[in-house]
Amino acid sequence: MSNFESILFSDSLKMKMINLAMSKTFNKFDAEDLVQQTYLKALERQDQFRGDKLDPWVITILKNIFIDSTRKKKEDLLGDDTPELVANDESSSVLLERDKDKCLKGLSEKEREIIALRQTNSYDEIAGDLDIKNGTLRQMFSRAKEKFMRCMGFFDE
Amino acid sequence: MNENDKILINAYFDGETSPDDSKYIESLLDSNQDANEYANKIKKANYEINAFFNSDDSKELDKSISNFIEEQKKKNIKSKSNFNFFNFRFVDGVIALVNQRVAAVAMVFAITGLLVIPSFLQEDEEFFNINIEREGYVTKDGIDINQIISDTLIDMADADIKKANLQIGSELISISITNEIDNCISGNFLYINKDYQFKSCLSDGVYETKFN
Repeated sequence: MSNFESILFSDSLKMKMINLAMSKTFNKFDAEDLVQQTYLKALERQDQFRGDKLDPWVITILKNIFIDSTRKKKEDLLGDDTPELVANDESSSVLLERDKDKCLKGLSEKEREIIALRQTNSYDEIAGDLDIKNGTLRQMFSRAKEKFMRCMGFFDE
Repeated sequence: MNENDKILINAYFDGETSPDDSKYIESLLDSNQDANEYANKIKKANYEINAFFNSDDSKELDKSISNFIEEQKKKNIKSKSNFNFFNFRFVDGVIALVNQRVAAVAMVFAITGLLVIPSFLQEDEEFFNINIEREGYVTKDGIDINQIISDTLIDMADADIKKANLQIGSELISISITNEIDNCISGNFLYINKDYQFKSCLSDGVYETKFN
């Protein structure tokens, strides 16, 4: 296995991709598609990789694939008259899950990315992967958490 | 408690504060009720966020992606085994050279009728030969030229060679790769005074070549 492949297939990059994909799609099936497509694209374009850090390059591929697929889904939905399903009799735990999802969705893409990457990485690593300064990252984290806490109603208690 | 304190409290629970900042936060949490309440909310938020990323869905996803990675590793190994042709030819060539090049090449040429001369090596006048029977290029319909070309294209792509010449009996085949787009290479080759086009694409870890 080449050096490129050992890093690409490493557990640490896999977990970054899984968490990022979940934070973008909120759906394990879409997340699986997104991660698999990212791997295939990275393998296909490995000759184009120039640099010493693979993770930011792969993360950019994942983000671009997600943007493309979202754009395509929006186009497909134009003119779709299918009515939205309304669920009834949901248990409080399901509602809490939905609140959590809704509140995470309420964050900006960047805020969700840093929260997703934080699951497995240090602030310095995240700053490197997303090309932002450590100080800026700390501010973003704090604001994102506060936004999430407000959305979840933690300040209403 | 100011904005900077909030940033530090958040970093503190992420284990990202310096020893001095940690001491400061610990004393703040002991002395300031607002800071203490804010810290509890941060802990609760962290718990909810961690639960999202460690859900059963995420665990299942981890499993399926791990399986996918294993499949890709196997495919890549399979794909690379197709690239051994060049190495084989090189080793055989070296052996032929060591065993008195001209005699060895002439003898193999007489037996197989096939001589392969990559053009990038011609300057050194090194001759490379293959045993077409051992390589499986002889079929009931004769020599499988398409397969020889396909394998040579893989070698050329692997070694980043754009032009090569193969001599088969009295015929010389000149292969040129003229285009490389994404995972495909295309170009042409001359065989018995006829120009053929080819396109070879990497699909699922294996090259597939089509001829016109």
